[in-house]
Amino acid sequence: MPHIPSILTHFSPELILVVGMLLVLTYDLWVRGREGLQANLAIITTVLALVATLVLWVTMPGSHPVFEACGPGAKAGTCRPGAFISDDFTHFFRVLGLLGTLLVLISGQTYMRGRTAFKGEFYALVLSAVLAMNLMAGANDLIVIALAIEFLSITSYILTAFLRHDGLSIEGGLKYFLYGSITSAAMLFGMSYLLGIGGSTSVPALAAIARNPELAQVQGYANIMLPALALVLAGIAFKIALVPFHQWSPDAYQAAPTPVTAFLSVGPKAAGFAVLIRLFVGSFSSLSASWLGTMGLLCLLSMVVGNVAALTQGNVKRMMAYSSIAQAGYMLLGVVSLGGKTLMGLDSVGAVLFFILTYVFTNLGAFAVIIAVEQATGSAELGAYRGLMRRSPLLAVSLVVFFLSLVGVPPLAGFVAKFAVFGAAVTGGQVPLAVVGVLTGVVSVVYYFGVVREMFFGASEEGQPGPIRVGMGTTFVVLVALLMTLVVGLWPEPFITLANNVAHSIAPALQAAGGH
Amino acid sequence: MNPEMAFFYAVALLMIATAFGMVLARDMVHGVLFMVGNFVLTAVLYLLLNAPFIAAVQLIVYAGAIMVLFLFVVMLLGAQDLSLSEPAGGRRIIGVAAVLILGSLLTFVVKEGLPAGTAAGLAEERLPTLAAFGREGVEDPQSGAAFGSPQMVGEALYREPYHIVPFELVSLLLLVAMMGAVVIASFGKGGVAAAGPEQRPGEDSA
Repeated sequence: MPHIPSILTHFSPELILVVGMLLVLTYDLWVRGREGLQANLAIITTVLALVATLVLWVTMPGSHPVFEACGPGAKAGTCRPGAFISDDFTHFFRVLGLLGTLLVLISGQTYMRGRTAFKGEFYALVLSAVLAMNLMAGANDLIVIALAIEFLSITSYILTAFLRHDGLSIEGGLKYFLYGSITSAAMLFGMSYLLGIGGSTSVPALAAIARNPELAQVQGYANIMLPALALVLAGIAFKIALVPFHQWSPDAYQAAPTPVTAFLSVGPKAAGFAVLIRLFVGSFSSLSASWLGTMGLLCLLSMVVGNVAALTQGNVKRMMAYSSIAQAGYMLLGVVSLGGKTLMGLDSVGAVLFFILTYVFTNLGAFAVIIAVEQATGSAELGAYRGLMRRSPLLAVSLVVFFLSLVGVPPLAGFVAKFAVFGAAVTGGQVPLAVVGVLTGVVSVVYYFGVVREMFFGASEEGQPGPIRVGMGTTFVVLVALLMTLVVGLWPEPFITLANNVAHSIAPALQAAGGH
Repeated sequence: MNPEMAFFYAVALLMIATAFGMVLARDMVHGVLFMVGNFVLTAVLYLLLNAPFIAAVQLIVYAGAIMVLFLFVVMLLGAQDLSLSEPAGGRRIIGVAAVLILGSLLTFVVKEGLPAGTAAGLAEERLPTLAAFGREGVEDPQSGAAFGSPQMVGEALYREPYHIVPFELVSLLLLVAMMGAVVIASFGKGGVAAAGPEQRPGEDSA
């Protein structure tokens, strides 16, 4: 079997996650009578997978298909492309997913303590969610894409409903599940069309037909692709929580244990964009007429509904749900500005990747603060933030920085990201969407400022609550996120180069086909 | 219309009818029975496509095991009358409208997108892996296994590493689902007793 070395090498981050997940799950069986260390084991597993990914990325750049189908006696080069592909694009999203999970695990470690007896299951589920995200990042076959999305969904449903003695948690999980099963069905229906037209589930094979419709020998190929791609888009948009596939997200975000909320706001979104970009921009960019309109509509609705609905939320987790819907809208803005001019060295896909990178750190930093506040006050309502500046200046000031970055204020990371995305939109012929983006960005100041006002100027009626003791894990995560928000904002060049290289690895033909 | 086509249309119409029956049934047990009918008819469709193995799996797994589970749950929970959970008028209209719009759009696209006769040509030329194997007597060039035979399904799954990822992913998915069942559905020791506080501090009891 010539495949085994290649699988062991290029699939190693995923294999590490599987082994780690099984160890965490069975920890109780082989270590008895000790305080459970499952959280630490999960952190170690994530770090190992992260190291493996970085080593792969540095030592073996380029595209490496894994799980190829060559058949006995087939000559080299005649293989069916692998079901999973390990390239720069995969590495980028692997690193983001693993880093994000690491920050969530560190900042949420103490939160789950005492809240559930199922520690092993909780951390095993988190690790399997990361595994699913990694698979989504590198999936090169419709079956793997569908399964990985389903894997991530089912894991997320369980994690949302994890605190089952909390009625809210179960309700949120159930809503998430019902929406998810319907959009999954729609996505699979769309994929059946792709298979029917292309005769293959392999994404590169389908991409070849998309570039050269003669191969399909179907007249009106593009017409058939319209509903197929729209249905697939529905499944992905559900994972990213784009309007109108977002109704589950405020309930799920509010109901889930807060570390899970932090994870949901970052992990599935990034992984969803990985699939979206690989499928639509990487493979079906020649059919952009079939999907640009639909996607532009989703983008518009997400920016408007997300930002407007966030205005009236009294619960910070719910507000962050709408805020993250709006942020996803901005990311999608970069995707629909296909062929936008290079701005600050970033083309449109590069701008999206850069945006996701900054979003992961900024949002996780904000959530680290939210977790810490909820642990101290037992609530995520707006009132819990009253006088936070007196109680913990570190948390209050960093939350302000994260919010400013989410709004897009210079010199923070969010500013560069928004500038790049809006720039791509203006040069890519999506000027109206860019205008809406800027205007809704202004609206977003209002709801972020609502929290800030409580923290700095809110006077507590019930005397002066004492200072909040901030745990080491939270401090670490907040500082890392602060550092990244500032460094990426002040010194964006290396990150721009990174995002651009990754973008070119997925869509090399984009420059040639640019403009529309 | 050859007899094969006529048979296909008969099965397809019955499938649609059973699907409607399932959705519209007032009694949940009736709904489940309509679903059994739908699953059996799907198996017939697989037989028409020369895929006896898949048809058998469909019968055993879906029409057999899964439906027994469904009936079990329905009988255990005793939710026989569905009139309470029926959607309100407005929502029903929106639902029906959505179904009609999507259905007519898809019909339009497939009819207009594929000029007359293309579908047949598509099956003849473009889909050798699906359609050619679907004709009788066609064999897998490498192993000589007949289309739809257990041998061919097995070879597709295991001979090459291509399908290892989905295959193993499904096993892990089952493990995850099992964990979910343990966490969410278990009684007694679960979640609360061993864990301490039943409520998050500061929250009112629901």
